[in-house]
Amino acid sequence: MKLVIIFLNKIEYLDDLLSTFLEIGIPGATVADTVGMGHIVSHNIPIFVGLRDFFVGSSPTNKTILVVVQKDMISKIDEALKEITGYHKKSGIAKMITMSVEELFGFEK
Amino acid sequence: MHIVDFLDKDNIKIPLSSSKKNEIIKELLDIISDRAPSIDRKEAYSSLLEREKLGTTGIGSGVALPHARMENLRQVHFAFGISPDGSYFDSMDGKFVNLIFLILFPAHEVTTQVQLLARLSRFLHDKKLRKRLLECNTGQRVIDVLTQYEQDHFN
Repeated sequence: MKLVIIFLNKIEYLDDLLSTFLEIGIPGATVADTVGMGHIVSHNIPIFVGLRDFFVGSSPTNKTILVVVQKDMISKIDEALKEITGYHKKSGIAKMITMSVEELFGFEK
Repeated sequence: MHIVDFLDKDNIKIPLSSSKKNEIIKELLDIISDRAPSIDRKEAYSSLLEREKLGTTGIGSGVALPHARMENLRQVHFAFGISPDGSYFDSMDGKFVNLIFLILFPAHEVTTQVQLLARLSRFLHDKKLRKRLLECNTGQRVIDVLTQYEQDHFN
């Protein structure tokens, strides 16, 4: 099993992405409201306020999606993410990482 | 990256003669522009004031880090001054400032700006370092103190 983590900066794609998850057979995922470091430092740490124009594209919130899937599902998620967001063509839209899961507890068989 | 890579002993003034925010900024900017005449002093000054409008760079504990990004700047320009009696700088904690670091960054060097400001603001939290800097009476002594501090804490 794999843990897929998607950092979705353009949150307007979230609904389409989750709908596609259901379509391709992913019944559940965890979606967290998160904030990028650039936004925090340029808005909350006074000495970095001058960098706001540098982080102008950053939204005040982004979403972090965590989902545990079979290995063969990763390519389907990547394809869905590409189709919906175009994240492979332009930076700043989303990022995805995967990692191996050692053991599972509390998951349905 | 080290602070002393950017700060020259001849860009340090002890003591500063000004006691008000804009005058201090002008005084430190004069040091930079005297040694680098190609810098558009007027533009630098207005850029520094524009940055102050976003929020004061008087970060408290007697420290101010006025800075600005400028187009057409080839390198970082850095000046430092000590105001032994303290000067008004509209600081966040309402207190006078003694240690003022003025920095001009090339517009394209955002990483340098982030790293230098982060390092300065982080190590100036150290009361002992602030005290040691306040005791300096020459530019070379300031460089020695900063060099030693970076060697002790960041290498």
